[in-house]
Amino acid sequence: MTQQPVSIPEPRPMPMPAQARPMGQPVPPNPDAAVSVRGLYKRFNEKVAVNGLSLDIPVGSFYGLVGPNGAGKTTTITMMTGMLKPDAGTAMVLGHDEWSDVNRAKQSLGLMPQPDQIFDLLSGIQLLTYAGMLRGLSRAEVMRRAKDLLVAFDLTEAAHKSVSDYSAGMTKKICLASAMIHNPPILVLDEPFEAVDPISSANIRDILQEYVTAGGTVIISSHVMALVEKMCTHVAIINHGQIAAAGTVEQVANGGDLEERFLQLVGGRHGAARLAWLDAGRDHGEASASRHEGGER
Amino acid sequence: MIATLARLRWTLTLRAFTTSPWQIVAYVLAVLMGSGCVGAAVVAAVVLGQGPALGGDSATWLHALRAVMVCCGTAMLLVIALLQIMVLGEGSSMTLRKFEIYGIPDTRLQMGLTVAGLCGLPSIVGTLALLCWAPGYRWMGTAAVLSATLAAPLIIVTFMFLCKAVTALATTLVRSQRGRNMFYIALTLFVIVCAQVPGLILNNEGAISIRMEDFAGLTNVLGWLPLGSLFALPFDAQAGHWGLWVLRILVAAVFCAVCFAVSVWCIRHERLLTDPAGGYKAAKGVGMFAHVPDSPSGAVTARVATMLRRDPRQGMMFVFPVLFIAIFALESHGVSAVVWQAVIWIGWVLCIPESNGLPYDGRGFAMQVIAGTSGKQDRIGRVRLYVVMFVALYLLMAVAIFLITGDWKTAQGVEQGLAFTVIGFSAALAALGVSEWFSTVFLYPVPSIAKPFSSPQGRVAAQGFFPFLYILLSIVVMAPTIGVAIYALVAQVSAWTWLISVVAVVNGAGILMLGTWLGAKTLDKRELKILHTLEEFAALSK
Repeated sequence: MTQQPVSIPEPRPMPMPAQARPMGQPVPPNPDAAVSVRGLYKRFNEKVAVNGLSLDIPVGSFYGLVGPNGAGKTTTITMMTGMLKPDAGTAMVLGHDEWSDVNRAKQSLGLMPQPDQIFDLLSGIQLLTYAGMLRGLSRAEVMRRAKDLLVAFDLTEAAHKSVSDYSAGMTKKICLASAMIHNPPILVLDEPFEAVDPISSANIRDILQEYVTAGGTVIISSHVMALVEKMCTHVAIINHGQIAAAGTVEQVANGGDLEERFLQLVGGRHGAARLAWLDAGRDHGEASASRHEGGER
Repeated sequence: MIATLARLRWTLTLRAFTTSPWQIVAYVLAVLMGSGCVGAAVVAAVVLGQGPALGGDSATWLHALRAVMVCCGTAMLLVIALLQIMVLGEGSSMTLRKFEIYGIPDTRLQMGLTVAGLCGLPSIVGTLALLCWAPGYRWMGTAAVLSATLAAPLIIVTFMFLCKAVTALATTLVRSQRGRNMFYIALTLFVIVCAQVPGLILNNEGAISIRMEDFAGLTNVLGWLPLGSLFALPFDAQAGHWGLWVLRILVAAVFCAVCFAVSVWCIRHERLLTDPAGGYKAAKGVGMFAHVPDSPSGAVTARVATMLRRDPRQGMMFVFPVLFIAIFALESHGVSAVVWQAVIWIGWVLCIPESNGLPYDGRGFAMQVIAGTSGKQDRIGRVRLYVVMFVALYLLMAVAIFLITGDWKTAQGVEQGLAFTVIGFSAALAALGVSEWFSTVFLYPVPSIAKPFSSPQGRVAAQGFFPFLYILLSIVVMAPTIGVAIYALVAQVSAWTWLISVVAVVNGAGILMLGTWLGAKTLDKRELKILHTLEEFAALSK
């Protein structure tokens, strides 16, 4: 599957998948894609979080979703994974309509829970056993996979400790492990490297790369452009709840640096703004002195 | 700084109104209750202010009023302070931790938080009620009324200093999760037992005789303790003991200073320590996960069981059976049926946390949503655990009550005991059935597990109303059994134990199945809405 980068002309274009299509005819979701969404729309009170977003994520890709804060990345992911019902639009996971049988679609997905979306009173191994058994795996198989995952994520020593006693990085790793335990064809990870130390981060990257090599699809959201450029095969830049550009990393970067391209598409970067009072606390001594003098007077 | 914190308190309260209309409803209810208290104080002052004109002589009135004000005032403040720790805690919006980064000096910060507390609705209502009560001393003279007027705000200030110190101590000293759980359970038990003491005393008046003179000594002691001393001021003023009057104010002032110092010490202590050391000790194996059916519902069973053991908010419910049996045994006067009927109430009480089970799961419920767990798997997993627990619990309770009452010695006693056990178990099954549906529709926020002593905003009104609604429903669904029981009593059916037991089992099991089925359907339908609600609740506890 090939996708052409789409940049934002003014005014913003109607969101559309990368393929060319006749005007006025909606393009149906792509059944060959790992995830295919069309016209996703979500509004929270007055705020439109996702505004008619369409996207195809190819099978076997390492797909990065990037965008500024509040761009709609997390909302898109939650709607893609059946965790939030869109107000409009469709989502297809491996050729099956997500919302016609959402629990079936979820079997194909490995969504990484956020650290506060797990039962942290359980020990690490209990949490993985819970995640695996919930997915219908046999206890014996879950135990085998849990032990492998704990080794892979360097959590063996903490396996029997309560997750509430884990560091932020360890918690992130156990969350990721719980998303992988049922060997899903698609992994969806929201900011997976946040708070993870460089060594663990490198290990996780290796695991994910291996997973993609084996035919899996990884969808990650991240703010770290260098990481996306380094790891991902494809990237979509989301801004104001719409796709600003999507395609392979090379296509979106358009021969330049991905971060520069991102800034160019998203905009909002200020010039060399200078806050007159922000002088590393130099005025602090003076202000204190004048207050002191004032007090004496 | 102090004024800023006081303003911040009201800004947060007003801000909360914009997040949910329920916040306004809860606040209006609180205002109405407060107005009721103030109104009651006004009525009491108007009526009782006539003093001996109502009957009796001045000396008796003086002794009685002094004993009531000093002893009951002290007791009431202590109970409110305990409830403050147990139910309300330190409040989730203005905790010390939230101000850590601003480098505010400890004394100013603590004073600011205390003043912010004094600006709240409960303090205002308390002060107004005491001020309105002051004219109740008018038969004792102007000095007494003026003293009571002065004492009103001072009592609330002293109380606030006490609350702040006790809450800070509870939060600071009980640091480990295990210690916190134990403390929570011990405190709850203490409050329940304290609440039962008057009933027990009145029920055993034959054994314990209470005379006014017994209170005189207690009143004298409490009158010199910080919480009671200010209640004694009008009586000193009336007697013209101005030296004692000043001394009592000094006692309260010194107490406030000590409480303040303790609170400030707690801030320092908190700041110097890192996060609570040591949570739960490492477990071996996978625990309950090794002993449940190999299925998604088995996973739910094991997870709920593990959480119940470690969650003080729910775990403490299992102390109630012992407490209920002990209290009813003390009040039974040798009538064994009084003890046996405890088993009927226990099932309803034990299911109260389950009737709001999902908020106790919190955002962790997302794991089930992520995995695509069906409502049926979830409900069956939960029901399995509770049914197994109830079977074990009712067997143990039956054995215990047989031993306490000695009913095992006679055939009639055994028949009665078994009937009550079966009826109680059936009522528990029905309550569980109601809970399985109720918890998917009526959710209210609970304190976060990390801070069982904290209070999510807007919790109090819902926390009082929804459990009441759940218990009412649990009783209503047992209508067939209740109807048959009334018929058996009226018609004097000889085999009443058998008749009621059979109907109760069918009734309880039927409601359990219906509730589980309905709960599963509702959960499937409302799963995402529930998840969203749980996220909102989690935000309240931050």
